Amino acid sequence: MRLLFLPENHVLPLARLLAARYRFWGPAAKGGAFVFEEIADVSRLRLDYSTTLLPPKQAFLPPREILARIDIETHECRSPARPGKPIALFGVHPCDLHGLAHLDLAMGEPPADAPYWRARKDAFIVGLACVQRCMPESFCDSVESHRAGGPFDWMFTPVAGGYVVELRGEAGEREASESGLFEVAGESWKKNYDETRDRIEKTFSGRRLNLASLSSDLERSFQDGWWEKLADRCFSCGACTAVCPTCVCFDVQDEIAEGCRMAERCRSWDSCLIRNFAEVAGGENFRKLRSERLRHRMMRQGAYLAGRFGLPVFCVGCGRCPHACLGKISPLEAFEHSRKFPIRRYAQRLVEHIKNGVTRHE
Amino acid sequence: MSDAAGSAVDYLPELSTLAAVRPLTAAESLFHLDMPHRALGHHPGQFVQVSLPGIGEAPISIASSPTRPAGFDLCIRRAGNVTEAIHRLKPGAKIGIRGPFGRGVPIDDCMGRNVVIIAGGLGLAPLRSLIQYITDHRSRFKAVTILIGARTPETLLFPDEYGAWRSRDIKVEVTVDVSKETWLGHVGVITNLISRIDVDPDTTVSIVCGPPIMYRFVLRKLARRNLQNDHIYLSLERRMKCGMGKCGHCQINGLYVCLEGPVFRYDRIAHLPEAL
Repeated sequence: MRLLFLPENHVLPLARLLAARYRFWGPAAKGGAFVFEEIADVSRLRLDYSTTLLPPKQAFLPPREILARIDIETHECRSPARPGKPIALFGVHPCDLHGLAHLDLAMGEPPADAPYWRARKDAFIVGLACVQRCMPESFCDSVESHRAGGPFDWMFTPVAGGYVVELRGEAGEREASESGLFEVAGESWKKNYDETRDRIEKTFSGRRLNLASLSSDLERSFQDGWWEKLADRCFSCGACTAVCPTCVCFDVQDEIAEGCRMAERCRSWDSCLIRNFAEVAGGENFRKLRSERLRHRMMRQGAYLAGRFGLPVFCVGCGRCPHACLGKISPLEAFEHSRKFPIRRYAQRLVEHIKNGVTRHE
Repeated sequence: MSDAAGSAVDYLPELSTLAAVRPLTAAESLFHLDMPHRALGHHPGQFVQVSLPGIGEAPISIASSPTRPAGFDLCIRRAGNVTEAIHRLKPGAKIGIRGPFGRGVPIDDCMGRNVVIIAGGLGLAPLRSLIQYITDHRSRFKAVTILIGARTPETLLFPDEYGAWRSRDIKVEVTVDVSKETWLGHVGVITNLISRIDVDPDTTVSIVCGPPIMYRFVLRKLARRNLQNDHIYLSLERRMKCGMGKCGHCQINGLYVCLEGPVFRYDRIAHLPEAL
C-alpha cells in the first residue's frame, strides 16, 4: 500500500487535471441536498457532502439508456457509440465504493453486460473516507461497508491540512505521478492518518447484525407472517430500488425516433416492488402480493445475490432506501427481525394464517 | 474486471426471415424462421428473444429440434404487443433474434431411458423440440410416452403431427378438459393420463411443461407413481427482459430462470417456495 499526501489547496487543481482527461463526476450541492453528477465547473465539488440523493450507480447504469438503435425498414442495428472520454468518479464514500463493487459483480457475471462495461471499463475512481455518520438511517457499520473497499484507484482520508491518499493499481500510480500535486507522506501525516482511521472505527462501531447467519436467517423467515405486517407500510412505489447503489433490475422498451425511421431499444431502471414486475404475458403474476415483492427485495439484498457472489450481504447499508421510503422501511429492520424470528412462532402463525385467510393486499 | 469488459455481450438482435406461417389454433400459429448467416445452435428447451423494431422484445421457446435442418420454429400465442404484431407478419418479413438462452432439457440424462413427456396447453411448444429430437434419434431412447392436455379439442397443438410421432414407436395420449360429442378421446385433467401409463421409477425420466397450476398436481401424481424428484424435469415460465441474468424479472428466489432454467431438475428447485 503506497500512501501520499495531498494538501487541501491541491484538491481543485487535481480535479481540474482529471476533468481535462475524463468526464468528471462528483458530489455537488443541488436544491438543498447533494447529488452525484457530471460537473463541468469543478469548483462545485463538495467533498464535505454528507450523502447524495442517488448513488453514483447512474454513471455506469443510467436511469435510461439506449441498448440498440434499429432501422425500422432494414432492421440494421448497432449499439450506441462509445462515449468519448472515460468517467472519473471523485469523492465516493465507502458505502458507494462497495456498491460499485457489487454492481461490477452483478453486471460482470457471464454473460457480462456490454453497455455497463463500456462506461465502466476505463473509469477512474476516487474514494473518500467517511469520518462521521451521514444520516440516522445509515447502517454501514452493520454490513461492514464503512471502511475503504471496492474498486478505487485513489482513496482519500481527510487529515489536518489535506488528505492522505492510498494509491492502488497502475492507473492510480500514473495519474498521481503525472499530476505532480502529491507530496510524500511524512511521519506526522501517517500518525494523523492512523488517528483518523481509529476515529472512523470508533464512530462506526454500532454493529447490529450477525453477517455470518444473515442469509440463512432470512431464508428461514421466508414464510413468516411478519412480511405482511411490514408490507402494510409499503406503497409499492419503487423509491427504495431507485436510490439503491446495488439494485440493477431494469425494463426494456422500444421507442420510436428520428421521424419513425429508427427504433431505440431502451432500458430503464425497474423495480421488483412494482406490481407487474413478475407478471407474464398470459397474465400470471408470480409475486402478486406486496409482501412477496417487499420480501423479495430484502432477500435479494440479504441472501440471494450475496449467496450468488459469495458475499455475506449485498446491501451496503447506505441508508438511502429507508430515507426515501414513505413507510420508513429499512433493510436493517428486516435483517434484524429475521434473526429474532423463532421457528415456533412461525409454525403458529402459519396455521393461523391458513385458518383465518388473512386479508392480503395486492 | 477487464475479463468482464472483454467478453461482455451486447443486446443487439440478429436478423432472421419469416419463411412460413402455419395457423394452429385461434390464438396460436407456428412461425418458421431462417437465419441467413448461422444455425441457431440451440438445445431442446431453450428460448430466444424475438423482437420487432419499435414494438419490442418477447421471450419465446423454440419449438423445433436442432436436428432439423434450415431454420427453426416458434409457436407463438397472441398475448401481448410483440406477439400480436408477429401474428400480423407475412412470410418474407424480418424478425430480430437474440439467443438461444438458458438451459434446456439434458438430453444425455434422457438417453437410454424411458421418457415420459407431459405437456399442458402451450407447454407442448417447447417440448415439441425434444419430441422431434427423439423422433430423429429414436434408437437412443427406450419407451417414449407423450401425455398431452388441452382445454378443448380445438385448442390442441400439433394434432396433425401425432400420427408421425406414433409411427416412430412413441405412445401419444391426449385428453381435453371440455369436449363436444364428436370428440372420441379422453376427457378430464392430464393427471388422469398419468395413472394409465407404465412407469418404471428406476429407468424413467419425465419432462413436464404446462400452465403454472398444472405442476403441483402432476408432481403429486408422479410421486405416487414412485418417480424420484431427480428423475423429473420442469420447464418453468417467467417474465424475461434480458436473457442474461441481469434484469431481475425472471427470478425464482435466488435463481435466474434465463440462466439456470427454464428447464430445472425438480430436486434442485423443490425447496424453493417461489418455484411452483
